[in-house]
Amino acid sequence: MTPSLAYLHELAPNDEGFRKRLLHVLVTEFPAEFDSYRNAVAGQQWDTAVHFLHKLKHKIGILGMPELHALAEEHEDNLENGFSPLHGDIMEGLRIIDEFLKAQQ
Amino acid sequence: MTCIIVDDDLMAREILKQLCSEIEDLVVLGEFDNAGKAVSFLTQNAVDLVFLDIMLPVLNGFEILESSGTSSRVILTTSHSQFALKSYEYENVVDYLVKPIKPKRFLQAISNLRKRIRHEDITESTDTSSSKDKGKEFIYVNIDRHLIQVPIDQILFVEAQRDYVHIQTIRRIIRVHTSLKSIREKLGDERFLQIHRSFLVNTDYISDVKNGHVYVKSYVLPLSRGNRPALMEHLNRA
Repeated sequence: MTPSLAYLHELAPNDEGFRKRLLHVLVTEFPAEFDSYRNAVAGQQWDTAVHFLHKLKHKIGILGMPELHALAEEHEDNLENGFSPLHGDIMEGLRIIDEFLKAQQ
Repeated sequence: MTCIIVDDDLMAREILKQLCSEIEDLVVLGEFDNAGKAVSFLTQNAVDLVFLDIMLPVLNGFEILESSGTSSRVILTTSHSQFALKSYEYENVVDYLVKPIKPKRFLQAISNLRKRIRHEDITESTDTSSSKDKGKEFIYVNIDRHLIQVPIDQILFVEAQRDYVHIQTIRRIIRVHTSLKSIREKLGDERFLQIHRSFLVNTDYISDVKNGHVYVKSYVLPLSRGNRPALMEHLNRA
């Protein structure tokens, strides 16, 4: 389960400016959404948790992590029903992304 | 082809704009991060295609489809694959793209849409085949520095509105920054007659003329006294 920037290259192989811009948005938005998701689960605010997980899920997809993406999809359905058995696995995946994005800065 | 992008996620909008930029004749007229702005734009502007996210705050994508009454074709974009089935309930939804959108899948969606439009154009042209072979078949108009092809057969009328003209075709309205005189010269077609200082009409579509009005499909257009004789002469000759 390793993040990759392959999708950005697939989107814009000859446009470094676009890739940098999108990476900047990823690096900027991810930590805040990660915190908001974690706090919402801790506070059992399930609607808020779903909202931020949904945003994170798109970023997981962009970073080419299909297993984590599938897990997040299942977790999103669970959260909508007020339970979170996959939270630990999701957090592990999100921490890996967090480290990866910090290394891109 | 013109489009708008409706998505509350900045990255999703950036990715779609990038994908659209790879399609030569696909012009992004606007991007919206909420339903209210998008619905307002759609009620005032003709757009060929809407890229619409389903999970939007306040109104979701399906609710936008219902409340805007838009006739624009719609490609739904979402991270939720389970909504695909529901999208078939909407006639103008032509495709469904799961995020993150793969460039190949995007190109396929646009290609499928073009095939669909061509098929619809062929179907529509059976109603207007008698008006063919009377000159050129298309005009090109400039929208946002892109040349858009407009089939002359499908133009019902052209209305001048200040610095713009609205070209009403069978299916849509095209807003162009030009004058009525310029469009009339570009058309150069005897089927098009001026019936009012602000209206040029395709006489092939006139169904009735009465009480100072010209009836074109479901539209009622003003007929000025000065233009009436030429119109009547043209119609009597036909």
